[in-house]
Amino acid sequence: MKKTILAVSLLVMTGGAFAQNLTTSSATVSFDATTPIDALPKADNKTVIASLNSTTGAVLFEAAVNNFAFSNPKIQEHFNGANWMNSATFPKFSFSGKIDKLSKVKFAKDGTYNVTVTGNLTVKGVSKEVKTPATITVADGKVSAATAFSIVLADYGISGAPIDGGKVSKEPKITVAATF
Amino acid sequence: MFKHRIFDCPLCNQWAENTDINKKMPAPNNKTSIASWLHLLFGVVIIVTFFLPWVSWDGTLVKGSAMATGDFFAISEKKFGLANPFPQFSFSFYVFWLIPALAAVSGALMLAKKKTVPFSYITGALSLALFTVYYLFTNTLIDLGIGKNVFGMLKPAAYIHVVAALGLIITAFSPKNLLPKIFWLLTGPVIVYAGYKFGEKYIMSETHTATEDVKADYTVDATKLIKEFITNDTATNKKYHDKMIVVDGNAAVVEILPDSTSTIKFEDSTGSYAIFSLEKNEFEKVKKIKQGDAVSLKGVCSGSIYSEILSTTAITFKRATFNSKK
Repeated sequence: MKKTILAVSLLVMTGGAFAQNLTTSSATVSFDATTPIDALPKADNKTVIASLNSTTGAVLFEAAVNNFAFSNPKIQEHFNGANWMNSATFPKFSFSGKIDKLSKVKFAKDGTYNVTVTGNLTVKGVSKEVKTPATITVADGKVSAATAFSIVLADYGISGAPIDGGKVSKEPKITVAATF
Repeated sequence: MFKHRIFDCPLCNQWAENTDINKKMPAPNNKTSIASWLHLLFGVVIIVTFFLPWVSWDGTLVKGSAMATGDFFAISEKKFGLANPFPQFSFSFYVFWLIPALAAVSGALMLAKKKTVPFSYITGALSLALFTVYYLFTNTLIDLGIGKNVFGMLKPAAYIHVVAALGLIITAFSPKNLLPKIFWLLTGPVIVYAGYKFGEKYIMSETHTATEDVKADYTVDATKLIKEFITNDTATNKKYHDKMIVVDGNAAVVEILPDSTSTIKFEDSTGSYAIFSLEKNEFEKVKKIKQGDAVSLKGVCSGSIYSEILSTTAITFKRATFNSKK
């Protein structure tokens, strides 16, 4: 009995030693809603907070809506406006998900691992499930993650004439890259 | 010399009486009299409808006179954050006061049986131009998600005003001479439409002024800035939101991203931080910065968020650069 308790304790302690909550405040999220008739609605946010738990596979990110940098001042103003992202009321986008089949990823071994991440993306206070393929790369002990997916703006209550008129994509592409 | 028949023009009768041409023409008939009264009616309608609401923007009624009084952009700025993009030309909006003024002049001249042209033409053209402004700007608001249908947002007074303006121009001259009428009917809307589209294109092709060329609104110490946000985030976000700020402090984390852009972070003892996103052109300078180095950064403050992930306050800056004027 004592041996069993000792073995379990060692297992927990060993597991704990490898369990890591990797974080960064310099992840990048790109928002690309360009269309053939308008190349302006796209922006990057390079100060996104992200975390990846190598034990549970939990993946989280938070992006300040107002820190998406557009090349055009007017588009940036519109993006943050009350009828679009309403950054004054909803100051951040967030994602909370999990890596499916986490056992495929060997965080202690260099390599590139293709995984699927499933979770909820919250935009403008509305949460919708997102399931997306992602790549986790381990190189020299450094872990980085990348994914790209599209969202349907209407799912988040975002609509308007520019979308109907084809100036803004109905399904903008979101690209996420983080090095932990 | 005169291709149109002056005697047919209800408003030129008085003037025509004193010309040789008039002596060769028959006297005005009943038809001209009706046209004269119609012309007067259109003038009165233009004056009245000018001071009535023309459009409803998200429940706020905007009068036809709002452009001339300055309320037009005051309302759009207050309600939707959409200020006059060319404030240097605000003075030109006073020209719309000519609408009621010249409509009154036209009416008075008509009653006095005097020539009303070109006052009636100018009134009509300005009225149509003003309607075009309301139509185009309301469409812009629809682009921002305010309202769905421009024709539903425009109020009956605006449509009545347009009809009266058309009538004022049409009854101002001989129906047989179409060219001047067509010219004055189209002048206002065409000029406004072309100007509006030019302005729109100009605004959409604009880029942000380089950060180094913008004067800082505030210069603050990093630790004090973070403390200010933690103490009262609502007031501080309001104070610094989208303002150009110079922040001095010691770099806590310097990170160069795979695309050669970078971030520099100032932290306080609680882990709360202010982070600056720097472009590729700062790469060489960023490479030389080490943790703990004193740096002065300038950027546009995007405000703060509370991070559930880090359990700290994160203040973010975009379009950042090193402050060279230190």
